[in-house]
Amino acid sequence: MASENWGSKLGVILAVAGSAVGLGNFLRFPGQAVANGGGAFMIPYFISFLLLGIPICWLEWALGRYGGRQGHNSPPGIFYTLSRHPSAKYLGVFAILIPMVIYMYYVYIESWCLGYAFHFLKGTLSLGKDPAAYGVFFEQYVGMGANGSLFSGTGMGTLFFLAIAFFLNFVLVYRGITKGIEAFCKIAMPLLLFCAVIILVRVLTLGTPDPLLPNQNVFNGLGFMWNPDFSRLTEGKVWMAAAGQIFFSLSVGFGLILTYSSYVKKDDDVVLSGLTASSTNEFSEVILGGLITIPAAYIFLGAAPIEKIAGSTLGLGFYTIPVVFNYMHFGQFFGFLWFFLLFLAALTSSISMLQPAIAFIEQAFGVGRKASVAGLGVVTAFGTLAVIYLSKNLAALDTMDFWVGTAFIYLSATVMVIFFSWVFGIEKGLVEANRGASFPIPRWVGFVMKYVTPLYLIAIFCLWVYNSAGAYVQAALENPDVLVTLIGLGLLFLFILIMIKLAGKRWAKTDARGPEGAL
Amino acid sequence: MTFAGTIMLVVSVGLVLTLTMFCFYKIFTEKPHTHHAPIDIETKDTEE
Repeated sequence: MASENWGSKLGVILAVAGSAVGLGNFLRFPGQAVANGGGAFMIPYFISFLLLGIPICWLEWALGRYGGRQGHNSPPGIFYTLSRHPSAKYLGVFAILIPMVIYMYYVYIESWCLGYAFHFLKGTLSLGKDPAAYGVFFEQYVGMGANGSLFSGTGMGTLFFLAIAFFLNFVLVYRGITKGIEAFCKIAMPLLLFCAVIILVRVLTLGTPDPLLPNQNVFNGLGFMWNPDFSRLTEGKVWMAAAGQIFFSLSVGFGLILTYSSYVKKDDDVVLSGLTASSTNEFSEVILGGLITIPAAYIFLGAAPIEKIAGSTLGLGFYTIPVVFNYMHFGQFFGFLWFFLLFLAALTSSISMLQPAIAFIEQAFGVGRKASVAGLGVVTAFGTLAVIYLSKNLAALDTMDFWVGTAFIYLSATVMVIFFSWVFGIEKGLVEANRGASFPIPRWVGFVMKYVTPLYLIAIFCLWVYNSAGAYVQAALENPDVLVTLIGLGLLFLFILIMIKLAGKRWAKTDARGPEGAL
Repeated sequence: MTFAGTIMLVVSVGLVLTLTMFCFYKIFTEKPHTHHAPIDIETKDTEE
């Protein structure tokens, strides 16, 4: 009995690891840190973790569980039921749009992992010790040279792995066998973390691989990551990127936790569940992601080229990690294992990104899971096609990642925290969050949620608008690919608003019929 | 790596490790079946 108990608890931790570990840790975080001041980035990053990540994680678990008890599992429905004001349902638009759009480009990066695993297995990624060769491989693989280049003969391999990844996600969701994935990930995730530790040890023992470049050594590589440059802290975009990274990798602030927590029992411990997921994520991100990719990038590429790599924060790991494997014994095998396990980690994350929209379609229109999944499949397929067609310098991917994966998450998180603290009520909210908790949320966190977190979010946003927003708008106007992507996102936003309006009519009728008609 | 960088590294890694160990300790010492991660939550809409 004792061992069964221990086994179930270990299972919880492995499931948490499976949910927490994703591409945000190993690929997005290092790129964001490099693009935003290296060590300086860690200051706003940790402040964001403490003032935004953990409080918003807790409030999202609490709001979701409360909404679930009222019969709603989709973000618009949860906002509607929490306030009973007809307009409140529109606040859920971000929580439908964001995970859906992130899925559109996330699944593409997920497919790169699968493709890289295949190429390592086949030996076509054993390109020697020249880092430039891996850059050329990556740029050709993702079609960075010109829009539409993936649809020529050379891009067929990329499209093939994308099709597999995209199809696999929807088959797993369609058949409702995420429990099977969970069981699989309980084995795969510890293996991924073990593999990451091996790579970490190899990176930290690389010394000075090229004697002609004595400055490009491990010590300076760690310094590039961790030395704080306080002058960067005056830039709003650095603070906004740090907050965005916390939201992205903890998967908080954009409806994912809100949706899943609506299915848990009323006395389940959401406080420790949320904190464990957050801390496990930080372990993967800061200790493994932060100590592997950036030092390796610095050692092989030097400081100057890193910030310019591809102009894409998500591509960095594909430039640098393959080089590390070629400095390792059994590098081909470890290269395959690493990218395949990363693919699995990404798969668990991308599947969960589909659930908010699926729950919304089901409850908005009274359709079953299969119809809901099919409809969502069509919408996301169009989005992913746009991402792969507008491949020149990864324009569509980076535009979506900034405007939706950072700015919109930011807005969504601001809406949630204000809603929780000022509409739902901080006292009621804390009572709800603490129900069934093994330890209560400290009282001072309530003060942080009510005053500090909203003010912090608003202050950073104002700082960003003051010194960076103009440049982003100008870039959008000058680059037609970016503009087209933004117009597409705008249309999708309007489409979801219309769907929410239609859903509201159905919910109003259901409410009029009484509790037995509740969804 | 500068002294400030070393401090940043040690404090960051220490903070994250402490928090993770605390959470794992609590999971192992608290009552079972009440903690969740998104991938182990049944969404209850898979049967039609």
